[in-house]
Amino acid sequence: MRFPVSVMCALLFAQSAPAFAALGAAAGPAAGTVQADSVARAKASASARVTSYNGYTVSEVVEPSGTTVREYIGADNVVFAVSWQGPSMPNLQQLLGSYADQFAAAASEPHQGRRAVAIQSDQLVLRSGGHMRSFAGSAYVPALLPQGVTPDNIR
Amino acid sequence: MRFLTYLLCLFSTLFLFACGGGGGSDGGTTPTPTPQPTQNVQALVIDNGPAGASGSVNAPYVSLTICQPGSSTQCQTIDHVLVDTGSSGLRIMSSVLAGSLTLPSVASANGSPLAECARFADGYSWGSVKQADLRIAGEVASGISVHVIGDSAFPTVPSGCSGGLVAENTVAAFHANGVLGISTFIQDCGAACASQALEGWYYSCPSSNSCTATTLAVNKQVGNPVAVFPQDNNGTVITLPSVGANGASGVTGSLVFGIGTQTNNALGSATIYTLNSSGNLSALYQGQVMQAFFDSGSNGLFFADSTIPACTRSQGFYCPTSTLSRSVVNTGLNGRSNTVNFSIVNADALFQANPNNTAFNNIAGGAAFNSFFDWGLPFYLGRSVYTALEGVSASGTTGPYIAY
Repeated sequence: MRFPVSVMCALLFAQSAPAFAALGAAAGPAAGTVQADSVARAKASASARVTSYNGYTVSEVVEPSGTTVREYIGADNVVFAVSWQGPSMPNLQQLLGSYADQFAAAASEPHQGRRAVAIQSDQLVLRSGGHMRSFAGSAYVPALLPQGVTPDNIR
Repeated sequence: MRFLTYLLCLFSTLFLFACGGGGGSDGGTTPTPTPQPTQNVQALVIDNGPAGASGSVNAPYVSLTICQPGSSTQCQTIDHVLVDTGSSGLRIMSSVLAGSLTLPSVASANGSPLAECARFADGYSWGSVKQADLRIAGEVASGISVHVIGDSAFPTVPSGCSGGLVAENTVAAFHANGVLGISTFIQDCGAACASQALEGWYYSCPSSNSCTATTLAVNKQVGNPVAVFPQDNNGTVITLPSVGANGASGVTGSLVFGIGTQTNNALGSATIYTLNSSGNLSALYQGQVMQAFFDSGSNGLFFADSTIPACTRSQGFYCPTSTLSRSVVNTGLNGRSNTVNFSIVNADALFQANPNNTAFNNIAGGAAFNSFFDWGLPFYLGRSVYTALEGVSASGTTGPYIAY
């Protein structure tokens, strides 16, 4: 049985579940205050799979609902992007952190196009869409993208 | 189930008596009554929305009746309920429910009343779970769980429900008096909520301000009511007329229950495209492979294409400088594929030039995750689209599938 290289990397670098950090915040134990929710989530879910790429790492957690959440962490240990895919919407308050207000503002604007949200600003680029049982989205902070990393790397 | 069947037989018998049997019997012979097929067609209308929340485009609505469980008199007919193949379950805005209609609570395993959180890509809806009978066309879904959105029973929304999303608990926020969710999924959450107390789904509420996430058996979950009908219960067909490039007003069509169960819902020349366990199939757009889904509750075709400019006024839609012709190849899990051609017009200009029209087949928007192609209501115009439920046979093929 052969594993794709990325899975091998993930297995090699697998760590115990780190404290979940929000977009724009420091990842790992340095993240500061750990919310009760994220502790519960860390306990309930499998350990994060951490995969290293050139200049950044991706920490992937499967939530109890089955939704996969990925955090993209730069060499400076700051989360520059997050993405999600799966049957339930993740808790965007936790994932987006200080950027959650921008999402809420955009989502509450009267928009004739329904069922999805897009934000394209200098501070935040976000897309959220899908249907019940199949949601996906991503968000990144353009100024925090490490050199050589493009939005296409965020999946 | 047997009990329900018995009840239905009873109702049918009563109905036949009430109708007087037509010609009656002559000459002393008693003719064997021919069983009449259940009336399985409900009219759809695409208009500008419910009172107090007009301005809708591309929203297909039905009227339906909800009754206290087991009653055929304690009922209320509700108009402008959005027909949504992108979710499962009947959800009604509490503000439109008559005070005289008292629906019993559904209890969690520990006996406390249940509340539900329905989380969408752009918002959440919170409210009680109640038991009711749904009557639509000649069909009855007895004793189903209904999500009553925005009621005052449990005013404190758990943080795991709101979770950074925007509340959509009013008719104005929903542009509808309710949602009739008829996706391929039989329950809204399914097995995951039966085995785990997940945040963002079902909550047990022992008191008005204390709700905690709870497990809920699948047969108590809010789900696609069609699966509960005694017949015509394997899926639905949405049939809508085609419209011209400037759109149309007063468009009506039909929502037909069952696939291949009566003469009016046969597949005919439609091709079946089977879906994966997430309700999606593969779509090829501009050289990129995406996951596509079919969602009558989306009011445009939504997909990310950075080459098409966004509108300045009609937030969420594309506004190309001239009309674009595009195509997508849909491929089902069964390997069947089909090319769908469509146009994208400047939505700002289209809405401005046709302010009274409510159905458009050529509006699209980019508010979608890169890997999703959302076949919204424009796809349904000019087609009959079949949505077959997961795990059951419809015209000889097991769902989930879409056919058109």
